[in-house]
Amino acid sequence: MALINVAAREIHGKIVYYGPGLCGKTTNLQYIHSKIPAGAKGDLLSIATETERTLFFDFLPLDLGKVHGFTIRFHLYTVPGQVLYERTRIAVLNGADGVVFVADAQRERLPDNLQSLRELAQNITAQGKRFLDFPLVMQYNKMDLPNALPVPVLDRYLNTIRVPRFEATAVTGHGVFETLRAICKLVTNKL
Amino acid sequence: MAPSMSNAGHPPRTHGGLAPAAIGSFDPHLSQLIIDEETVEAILAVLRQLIRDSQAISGMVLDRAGQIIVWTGQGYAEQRTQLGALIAGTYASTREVARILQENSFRTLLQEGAKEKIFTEAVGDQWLVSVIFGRHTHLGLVKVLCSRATLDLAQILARTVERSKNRPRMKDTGLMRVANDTIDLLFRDDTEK
Repeated sequence: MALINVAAREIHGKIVYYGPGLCGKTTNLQYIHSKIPAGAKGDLLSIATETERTLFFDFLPLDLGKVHGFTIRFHLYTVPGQVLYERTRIAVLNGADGVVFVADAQRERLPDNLQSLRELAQNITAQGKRFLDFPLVMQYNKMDLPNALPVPVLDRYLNTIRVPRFEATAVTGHGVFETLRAICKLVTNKL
Repeated sequence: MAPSMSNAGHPPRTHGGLAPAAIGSFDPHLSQLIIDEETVEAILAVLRQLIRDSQAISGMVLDRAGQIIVWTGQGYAEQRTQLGALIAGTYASTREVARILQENSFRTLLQEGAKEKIFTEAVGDQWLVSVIFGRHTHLGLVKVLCSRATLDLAQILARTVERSKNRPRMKDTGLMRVANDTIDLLFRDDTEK
């Protein structure tokens, strides 16, 4: 639920990067953090295990600055992708205004993507929201790898509801900002 | 800091003229909550009194998604965005722990360090109030004052939700157009420019 603080003239939106383990959610945020101008971002906060796997979430606040007298802020979160952290994902997803589903395009990860996407739909529905109406953008990450599935195949299995989708290689930044712009606009247009 | 959680010692509450079910209940169909000046002033008055009476350092009211509605106090203002995200995350985590223990929720959360402590209490189903205080403030006093403050805050926020439901949606096409242009301008990679 977007928070519009008329008194402080601020609009806050929460965007969650969701997807299976090791699909590149944290890499997306790290790349965004490395490229956004200093005045438009806060610190990137990561709660990770000793082995750099996300334990709870990553958090990156972005600030669009003043727009028509309002300061617009987006708070980007990632969820921990590993299967055992399902309840943590529910906690982080709470109150999200939009979701980026990061799919790992590698052939052998398709079942993991499907399971994660099904779980996302269940969790959004459990919050009392209609999944089909929820601001959602899909990112097919790791498209540079030789075992990446072709886009039509990924579309057929993962994007049956035909949300905006982007090819990406998050480690090099390809597709990262396209995805970010798309979800930010969807959230803004939902206000 | 070692967190501790509790739902003990909380008798059934009354909330003035509002039905308990209406206090801070989460409405999934409400896609935006408009915080007006009246709400901010009312919350600020409650929060300032809480900080003053408990001699705490800082306090905040935030939603469960981690977005701060009102912040007041002397310390940690620069880190408040991070604090809001972390406190809401920690609280959400304790709610899941409560679920496993077949509790409805843990209403309070204490994070205790050698010098500073943070006490957080649920306000309705949707918000939290958090107080940061030092070694010279008694935890018991903070708990009592926070418990009182949550009653006032719940009523203020419940009224805000009702007003939000009855307001026309803030559909400012000019704002959206400029916001979209700014997103295009700011969220870009060097390689795209």
